[in-house]
Amino acid sequence: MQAKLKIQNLHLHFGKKEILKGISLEMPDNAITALIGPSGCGKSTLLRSINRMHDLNPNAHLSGQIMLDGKNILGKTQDVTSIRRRVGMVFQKPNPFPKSIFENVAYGLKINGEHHPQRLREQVEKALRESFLWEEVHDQLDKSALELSGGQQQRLCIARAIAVEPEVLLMDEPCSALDPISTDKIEQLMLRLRERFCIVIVTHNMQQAQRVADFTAFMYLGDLIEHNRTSDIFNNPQQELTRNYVSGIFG
Amino acid sequence: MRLTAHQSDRLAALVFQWAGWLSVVVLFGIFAMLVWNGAKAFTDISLAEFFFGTVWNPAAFGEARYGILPLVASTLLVTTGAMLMAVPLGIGTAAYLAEVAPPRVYNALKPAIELLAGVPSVAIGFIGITVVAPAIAKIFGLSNGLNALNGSVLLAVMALPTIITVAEDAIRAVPQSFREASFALGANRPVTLWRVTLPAAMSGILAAVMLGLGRALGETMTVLMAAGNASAFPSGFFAPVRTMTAAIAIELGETAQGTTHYFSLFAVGAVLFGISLLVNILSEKIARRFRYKI
Ligand SMILES: Nc1ncnc2c1ncn2[C@@H]1O[C@H](COP(=O)(O)OP(=O)(O)OP(=O)(O)O)[C@@H](O)[C@H]1O
Ligand SMILES: [Mg+2]
Repeated sequence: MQAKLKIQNLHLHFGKKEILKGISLEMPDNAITALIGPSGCGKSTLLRSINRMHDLNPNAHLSGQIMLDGKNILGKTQDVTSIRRRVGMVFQKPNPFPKSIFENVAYGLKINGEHHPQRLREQVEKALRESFLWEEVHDQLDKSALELSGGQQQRLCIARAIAVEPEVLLMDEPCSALDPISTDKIEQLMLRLRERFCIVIVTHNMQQAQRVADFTAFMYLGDLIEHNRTSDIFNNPQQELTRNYVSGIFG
Repeated sequence: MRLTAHQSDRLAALVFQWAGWLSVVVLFGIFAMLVWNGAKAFTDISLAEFFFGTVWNPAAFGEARYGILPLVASTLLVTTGAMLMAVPLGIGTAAYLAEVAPPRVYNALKPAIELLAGVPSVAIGFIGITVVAPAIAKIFGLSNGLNALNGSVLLAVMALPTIITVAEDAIRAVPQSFREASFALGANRPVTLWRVTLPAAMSGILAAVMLGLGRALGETMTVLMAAGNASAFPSGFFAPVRTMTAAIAIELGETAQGTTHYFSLFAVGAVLFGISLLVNILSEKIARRFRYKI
């Protein structure tokens, strides 16, 4: 089976400093891949390469390839906005727009040309249902998203991301600002969304990685140390560094 | 004498509380003074004539006329014209400075704009008379360019630095995470600016517009010099106008104290004060709605 995402020898510099030192990693469709590693090892940087967020930073220089369905998305001729439509992202801190709940979810649809009120309503409802948020907000769609709780805001951000029907969903520590109950809800959500997306998640929470991830990649100082089935990474690591990290000797 | 931390906190709170009250007292003092003196004009003029009369000619040889409408209309005309130019230009420039301008351009533009804010209004009026008015006359084929349009252009120039500076700060204050969320959904820069960043900065941008509006409403010297100074009811942007501020500034010096004309100018001042107050209250209301709602 061909991997949905195939990163090949990815190098990234911020200015002179090399942050990613030749990462090669494959991520299959309909599975969750967790990126773990100590703070500053480059997890977020790697994740943000996959939807070309570094384009905004003139200091960032990338080389290597990121293949999405066999096409290199780092290619100069690739249209960055269409890549970002295919590769959705959920951020560490919930960042709903200061707009109504409805407008938050409808935003991505509208900028992609959907203005038909009926279809918009249907798709917003669909995305909110898929994010387990519909029951809680269906009678207050006009309320400001900023009035929701942190956990609800994060699920709203997930709804916003999946409303445009991406193929890949990137999540950078999506639960780090949330309480255990909200975290549990998001994890349930991820497990369900796995059926439809290729999900990549960054997490510092080893239990979370084991609960949700099919595959886990351990990074250290800009290198990919080990990548395997999650159970193997945690129960049978091949590298000394990995063993030390997952057993909590450093972190 | 040494103060404990608690005592010095209390003292500071007290000082600032009094400073706050003082500004309230001054504000009401000014308003009361205007109304008190202005009211004396109405022993001679009827309220109806003052508020609905369409002729302002207190120094007429025959019957003096005290209709404030031409002055109000002139002020509104000149100010509206100024804001029509300054608001889009100001917000556009602010957005450019905050979101687009490369550092080199920014470092050249920013000090120039700050400098513009410091140009005295008399100098702007001077340029209005010698440069802008002739240009307007030429472009529109008029015999004389000292008119409402000229005043609007100059007021726009004077309101621009305020609008740009405050709006730029507001746009910069929008969290980067909003922009990133928009980009991550496939929006490009213009779409993100238009649909996310500017709306998120709306309360600050409205404040910028209101500050610029206040600047334009209250400006005196420039319009006095360069807007034509005719107290007839304005027929349009090509008519010479006398705003409320200009009327007060010119006429107060030429009237004997204690005359009806003298008091009527206080009444004009009170009306101007009322308009400014209204604008402020309104903007506060709008800004608050944008801050918490959307
Ligand atoms: N925009 C940037 N410019 C320069 N250096 C950066 C930038 N962003 C990140 N870095 C650097 O790149 C390195 C990797 O950062 P990154 O955010 O990817 O780490 P991380 O693994 O996500 O860490 P954490 O777990 O703390 O989020 C760090 O040394 C960081 O200082
Ligand atoms: Mg990170």
